Amino acid sequence: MAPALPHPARARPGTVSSLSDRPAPRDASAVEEVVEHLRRRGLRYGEVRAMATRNQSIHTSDQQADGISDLEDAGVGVRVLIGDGWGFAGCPGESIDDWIAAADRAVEAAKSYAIAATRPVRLTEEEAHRAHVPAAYLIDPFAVPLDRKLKVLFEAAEVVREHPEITLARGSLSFRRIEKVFGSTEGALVTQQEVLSGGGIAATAKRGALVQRRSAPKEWEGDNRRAGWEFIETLDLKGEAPRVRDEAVALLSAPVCPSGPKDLVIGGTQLALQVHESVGHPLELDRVLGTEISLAGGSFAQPRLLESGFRYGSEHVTLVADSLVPGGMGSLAYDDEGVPARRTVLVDRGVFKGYLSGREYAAEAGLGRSSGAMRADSWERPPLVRMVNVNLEPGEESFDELIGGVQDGIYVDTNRSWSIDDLRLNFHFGCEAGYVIKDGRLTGDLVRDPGYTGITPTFWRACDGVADADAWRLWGILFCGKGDPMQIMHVGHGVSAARFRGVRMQPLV
Amino acid sequence: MSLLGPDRILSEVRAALADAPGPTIATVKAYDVDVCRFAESRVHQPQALRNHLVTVRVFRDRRVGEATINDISRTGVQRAIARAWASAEALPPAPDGYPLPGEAPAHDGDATAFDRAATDEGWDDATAAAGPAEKAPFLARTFAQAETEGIRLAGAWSTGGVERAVVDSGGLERYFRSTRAGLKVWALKADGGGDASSFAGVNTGRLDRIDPARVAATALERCRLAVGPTPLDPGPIDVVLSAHAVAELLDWMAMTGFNSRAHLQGTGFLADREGTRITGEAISIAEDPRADAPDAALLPFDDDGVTCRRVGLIEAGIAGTPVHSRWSAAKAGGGCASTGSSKIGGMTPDPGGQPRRLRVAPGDSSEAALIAGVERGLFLTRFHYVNGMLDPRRALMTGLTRDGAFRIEDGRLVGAAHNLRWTEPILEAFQRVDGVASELEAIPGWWLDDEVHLCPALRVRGFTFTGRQELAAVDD
Repeated sequence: MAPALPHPARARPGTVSSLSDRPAPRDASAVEEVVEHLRRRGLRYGEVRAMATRNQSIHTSDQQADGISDLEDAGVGVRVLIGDGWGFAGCPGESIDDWIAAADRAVEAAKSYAIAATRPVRLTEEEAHRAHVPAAYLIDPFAVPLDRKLKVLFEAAEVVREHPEITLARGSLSFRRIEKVFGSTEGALVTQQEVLSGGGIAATAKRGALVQRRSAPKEWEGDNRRAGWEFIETLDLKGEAPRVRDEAVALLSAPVCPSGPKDLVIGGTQLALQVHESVGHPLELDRVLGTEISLAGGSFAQPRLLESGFRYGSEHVTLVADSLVPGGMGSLAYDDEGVPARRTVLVDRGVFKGYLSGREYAAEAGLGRSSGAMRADSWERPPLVRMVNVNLEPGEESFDELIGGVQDGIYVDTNRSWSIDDLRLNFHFGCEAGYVIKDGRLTGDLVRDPGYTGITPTFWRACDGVADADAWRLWGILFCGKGDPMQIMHVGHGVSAARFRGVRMQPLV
Repeated sequence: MSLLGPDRILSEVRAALADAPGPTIATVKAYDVDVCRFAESRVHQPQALRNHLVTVRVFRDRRVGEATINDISRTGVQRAIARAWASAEALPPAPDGYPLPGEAPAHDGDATAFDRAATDEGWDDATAAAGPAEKAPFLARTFAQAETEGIRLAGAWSTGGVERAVVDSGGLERYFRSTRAGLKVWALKADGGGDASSFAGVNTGRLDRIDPARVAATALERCRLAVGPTPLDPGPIDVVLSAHAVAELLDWMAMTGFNSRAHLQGTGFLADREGTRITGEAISIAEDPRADAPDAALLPFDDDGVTCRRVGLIEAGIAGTPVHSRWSAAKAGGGCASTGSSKIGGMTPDPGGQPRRLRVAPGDSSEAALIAGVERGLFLTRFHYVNGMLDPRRALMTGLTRDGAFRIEDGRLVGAAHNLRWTEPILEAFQRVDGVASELEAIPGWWLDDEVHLCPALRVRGFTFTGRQELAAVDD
């Protein structure tokens, strides 16, 4: 069963004239004024990042709106380096006096913390870029009337609710507009705009105490793209509704997924999360170097493994961090240190090759340059090393050939639960549905509550096939948590489907 | 310290509400917090965080539109009201019984918590004003001390103030402010191919109630014990869960069982089970914003302005009812009332009730006595990446140990084990609890910005471990 593959919209550059509807002095000159103020304070490095964001999030249950959140947020964050001490301060609003005051608070913090410095801080060299990057979209999602948005979800819900054992039809749409102005004491000045759109539906079926759920096109917040309303139209949520409904009901009669070793084919939405948790996070260099201990933990992927040519996966496994892919939730022109987008090979035919990084961490690890992955979720938080688009490159086999290589196995897709240890080694994932594979074909039989567990490098070394470019697509994750206090970032994963031998199945019951 | 203050909030919001096109309720949240984040024995990410958010809900013929803005000025709030009014037009009506502003009293129930807030008892000027100058000298000394043992420190030291206000067009005006102080310390020591790690932390409302040297000393002491972990086979093992580990379980129980959404959808573990036994008698869990709770747990009213009330969720093992907001209470019908558990705003709107002060009833043991009652087992400092979505009706969860899984032999801590994965239906595990500590710790929740759980350590017999971290997989 090949997953449905809506074609990404062809986006054209568009300029967002008024992102937050607020009378805004968020122009470059205000940022430059604060940068100039920092230069007079005699620091090693300083950056000023003004951001204005508008979020609209719509959640429905059946024919009811659970709520519509509509958030408008603007402010500035200032990060400085004095000696070997960092300081960061933010303030809401658009008053230049407040911005200057925030800059001064950052400077005072950096002076204080310079006395607690225990080692030198270095930054990799970076050209001071000056650029304006408009958002790319066809239809401004904030210009689409709310009743049209609700209609998309209500029509799908009506179809989902046609079966009496469906107890709930949920839907969600999410839209975001972001405007950033970044300036640094090194001379960088970059303005960027983003428009993001996404959505999905889910059916809950219940029989006695048994509850099952199916979602489309992806779990939780659905699929998301750096695009406008046109992306929602490609999702065809009403068209997906019958499959979601019927599979949720069918799962109520399905046997529990078997336990023990099985050959496993993982579909795109689940494989995207597998890449996210067992490749993206462990290869974030800040985590590797120990600076995320206070929330997210560390990583097994230490630099000594990079030097030794560690085998992360089989020869079928090539993974890249690519912020240049059009439409990806992790696509950007410049990161929040002003570093331009780029493509970094993380794993080349199974061999560990690189990290996601920022300027400080790249210097500390002796990498020479940042991968351009420093991102902050708002003006009030400092940038962290985040995933951009972390993609599994397509292989040679068609999806049918991938299935054809399995005598006795399971095809799983759509995440239901996720857990991985603090070094990103031992993971356990649950999926919404499993599809039985016998003698090289999908039998049409479902198994419920599928789950599987493994150890990251052992698992990726057991990959013996990745589906080809025809099955490859980008998936967008809206909520990736990291940092302390936690920041929520949107990231992307391009994957097709992949086959793994002898995976330990551990069902969710 | 730069909070808004009640006078400014009231004057700006009242002025904006005066021009609102329909009944309106405004919820204001502001904070000014200094977070000193450190790792590898250096301050790598200090953050001075300051913001305020105004969320307005406007009623238009029983349709409720919502918008949020970080602009407290009259014109800013008016802009949010206009946006909410426009949204309301497209929405279906709110459930019958959902009161308009002014239709239902907000001061219903026990107002003790509100009265305490009104005396400003939850506020401490020194905590609100603390910043880098107060923290840097201690950290510099402690980093140096740890280095003499080859130990690196990580963590976060937070201080600051928050304020909440609810104002509506029916005449409601509620305001409180409180201070928060928290210190988390991890101690790490290179140990073979990885690190031995340990954790200690404290959360309170006043900086002067934190003894940073004691917190650091506890982390260091545990780190010494964590060196040289040995592998342990998965299977059922008697455990003592620290309060921090218990809090991680509560985070998920809040989401999958104690909130109103899970209950109304029939997917939560309380649904259809009120009055029946779901855990052992040793377990009582309440949503409990009590007046005598530790200062870090102060929560006088919810985002509707309704006084927060105690709700018995599990009483001596017997299932109770979930928490409710006004919206979910109206949706539930049958005389159901708000428990003061509304939580609005955020990126995933849910108008239902959410617990924010889960309190596990204390027992009569010390943590040491719980450990002494285990012949062979584990003391678990913290959990990592728990997921409670496996089977919410059984509270089936999986997760891993972190920052010290300490072996217990003959009632004493004797060393450390490699981290393990566990998979356990927590309702069933709570039937095997035979010891509850008398001391409650206030521990911030994972999901909501002002969530604090009050937890004791628990002893659980036969906790089910299903896998290991397998560090050997990295040996190339």
